[in-house]
Amino acid sequence: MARIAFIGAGSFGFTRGLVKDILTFPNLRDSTLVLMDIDEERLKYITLAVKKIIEAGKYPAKVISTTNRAEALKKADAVICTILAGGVNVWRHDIEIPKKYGVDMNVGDTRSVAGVFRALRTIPVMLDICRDMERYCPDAILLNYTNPMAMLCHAMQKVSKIKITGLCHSVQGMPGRFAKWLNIPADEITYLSAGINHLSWYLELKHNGKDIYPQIRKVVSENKKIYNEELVRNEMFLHLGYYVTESSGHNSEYNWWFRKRPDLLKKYCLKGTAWNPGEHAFILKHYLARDKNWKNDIKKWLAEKDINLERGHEYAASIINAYMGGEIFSFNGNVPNTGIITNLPEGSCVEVPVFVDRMGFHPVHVGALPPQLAVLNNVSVAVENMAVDASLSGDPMMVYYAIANDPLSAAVLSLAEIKKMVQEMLLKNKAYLPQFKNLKIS
Amino acid sequence: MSKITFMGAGSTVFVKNIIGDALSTPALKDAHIALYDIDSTRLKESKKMLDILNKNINGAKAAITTHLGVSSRKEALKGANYVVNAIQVGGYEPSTVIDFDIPRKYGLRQTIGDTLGIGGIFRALRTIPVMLDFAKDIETVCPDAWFLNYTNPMSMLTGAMLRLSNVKTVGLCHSVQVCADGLLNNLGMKDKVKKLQWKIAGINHMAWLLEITDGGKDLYPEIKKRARQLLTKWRKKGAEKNGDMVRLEMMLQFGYYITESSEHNAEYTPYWIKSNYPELIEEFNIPFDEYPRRCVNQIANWKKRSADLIKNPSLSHERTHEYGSRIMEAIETNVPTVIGGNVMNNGLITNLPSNSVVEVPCLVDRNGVQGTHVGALPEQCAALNRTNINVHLLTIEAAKTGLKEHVYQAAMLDPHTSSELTLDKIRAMCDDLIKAHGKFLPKFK
Repeated sequence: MARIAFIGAGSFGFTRGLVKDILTFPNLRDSTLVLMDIDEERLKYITLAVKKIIEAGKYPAKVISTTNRAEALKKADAVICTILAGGVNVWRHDIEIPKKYGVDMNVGDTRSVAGVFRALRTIPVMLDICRDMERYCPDAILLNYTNPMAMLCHAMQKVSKIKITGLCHSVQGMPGRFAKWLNIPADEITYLSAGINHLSWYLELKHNGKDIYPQIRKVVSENKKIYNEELVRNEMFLHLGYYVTESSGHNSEYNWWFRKRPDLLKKYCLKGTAWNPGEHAFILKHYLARDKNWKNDIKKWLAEKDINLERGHEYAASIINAYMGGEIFSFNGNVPNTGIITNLPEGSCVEVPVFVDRMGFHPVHVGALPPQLAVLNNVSVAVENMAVDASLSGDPMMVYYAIANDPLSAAVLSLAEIKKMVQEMLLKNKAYLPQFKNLKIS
Repeated sequence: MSKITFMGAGSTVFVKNIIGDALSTPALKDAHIALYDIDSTRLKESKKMLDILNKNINGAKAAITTHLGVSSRKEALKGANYVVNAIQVGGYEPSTVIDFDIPRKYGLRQTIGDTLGIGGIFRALRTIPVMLDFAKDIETVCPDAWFLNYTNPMSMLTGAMLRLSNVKTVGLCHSVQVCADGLLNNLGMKDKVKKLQWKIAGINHMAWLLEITDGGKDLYPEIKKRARQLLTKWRKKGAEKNGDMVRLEMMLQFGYYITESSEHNAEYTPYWIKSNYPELIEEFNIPFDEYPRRCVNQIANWKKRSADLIKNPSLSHERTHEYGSRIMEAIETNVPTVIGGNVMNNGLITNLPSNSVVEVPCLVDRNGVQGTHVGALPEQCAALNRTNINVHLLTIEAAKTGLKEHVYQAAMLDPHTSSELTLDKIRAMCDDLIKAHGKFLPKFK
């Protein structure tokens, strides 16, 4: 009987989806699901939602709700983390302050200036969770869904002995789209993906063992409709030779090429037809709308008669099943680079194929990335590693050094301008940066 | 439909294990099985056996062809998805006999001689050129094929393939999957353990049982307690002996149990076969010349064993513990599996050289066999592995360069050889061996 703790259970989408997935496994259907959130109202609703799933499936599972994290973690076998530290009204400054300076963010949850500040606020909370786990459930696995993925995982993996992996759904999402483009069954596509979170690369992309990159290049260059779906990613693919895992909007802010001038923003970041082409503050707007509507939405869902109980495509449930002794499972996870990608720094957080069994996570050796891909990953890794060091040491200068080297900030601002921006942001976040003794950068 | 080519298909029993497993696997039932050997009698026998098996367990769905001799090798390999390698170059006679007789004259005694030591070195030197010939054909007629090597010396041959060819190679042994069970059985603990879990990594035949638990509870304290008591009893003069004393003693001295048997491990380290301490042989029950003895028995029983297989119309098969069919199944179906495989280290074990071949947990799915990161071995385990890896790397260097100096150096760095002989004697012995093996070896410079 597994005991699974959800930290930040009030993330309705994640928790509902993962609970549904977990209970589809015969070995996990009698699990104890421990829901923890610091927001009592959200906790109340998610508890009702989980109970509804259990009843609909007539599962022998149990639910416990608590606002006490230590309580939630006691004797857990697996811990799922989906927290948002500080909430939307704090996070919005990560997007709005840089905009004043001319740094135009689209998502702002992964890297670049907004990602770094989100990491600075979240790392102390994540480290607290790790410390609690070391005390209350040292053998449990921690599955992190909270962003910024690479920085949070890197910080935790650097200081904690807990078995940790970061999970995202970007890697397994895109191959289905390739299948549609080429009109072939999605389950016949296989791939090898490696890199860093949201900036991983399909190094191999095959249909029944045959390389399909030539066909993808053909449809992306010749089929206007397909080209227009993903302007940023398609441009990157056509010029760099490999397809990247996360959306065009995300990727438009990870490099120098797309968001530094209004004409480029207009050309590449506004007109794409797929999810999130790259408009300013896209996710922030979405969060703000959700902040208004969440209660109505969850009430509506709770009132629905039929709910779909089928397993989705998130990795977490299959991982927990494997760790609890079920069949082994392989996935793309965020783990420390132990020579797995030979041309990224040792110890940085990489997203590579990993298999999980009763003993834990086992990343597989990948080798060297093509140099034109490694360079992009290396720039981000360098910024992220500095940001993590800044958080762990509480050194405000290190925050500045990190952002000074962020490709997007550097593409539009001078060093002096970046310093000014970082200073303003540090002071704005004062209440959420307990690890910093002073916030002054000189 | 996939094609499986079996090199050295005259090993009828092993063909039955590996191909019988494949024919018992839904994803491989309609495979084309191409059997290759240079011995026509044995090849025919294997074909006969497989035809019966294919009919009995597989509704004759597989297509089975035979390919005799070097001139038909390319045809055997053409378009193969999997190449299983189980060849033996030189056989018991003349090669194995030479590997044992000449060193014995120098006072160097061996037990198995197929992995390390002077026997292992010369076995590699005569086998690597043949395998590199296979590799050239594979690169031409089936460059995407996976090469599953079962031939010993595992680390040297797999390393030669991985470093000197472009063939996708993994080395396979069954010592990993039977290790933990065997240990518990021998110590009378098997029935007490409910949820056996283990982790093994190291090099082939000297991989370490790094963890053994019953649902997370460490079993080593109890294992060591029992081993200590039993060894005290077994070591006494005239006492009833056990077959696994060397490994148990190694575990007590170095902290971890090893995958391959005691008769093997007696010649991988300098502690067991010592002319100054001849009493160790009886005390630890070390069987000299064990491998040649097995060969003689096997040859004597061959006719009967082969008749049992070929003349049995109701021949059947149960899937074995060999990894071969599991690997092919995982690649075909993309349902992942984990095996203990021999792959290029590349930093998977951080305290072993990156160009050595290591035996580690590997993930297998449609992307093939992928080694997983292990980290550092306990320092004393890595140290023992490195003494063996020295010999692997120098033997591969000798095969690669054709320089006789590297043959000598491989032998000089072998822990057992160097603890028994002088440098001059080692050189002389190598010269004698090179001369005696004659045409089975490449011409050394």
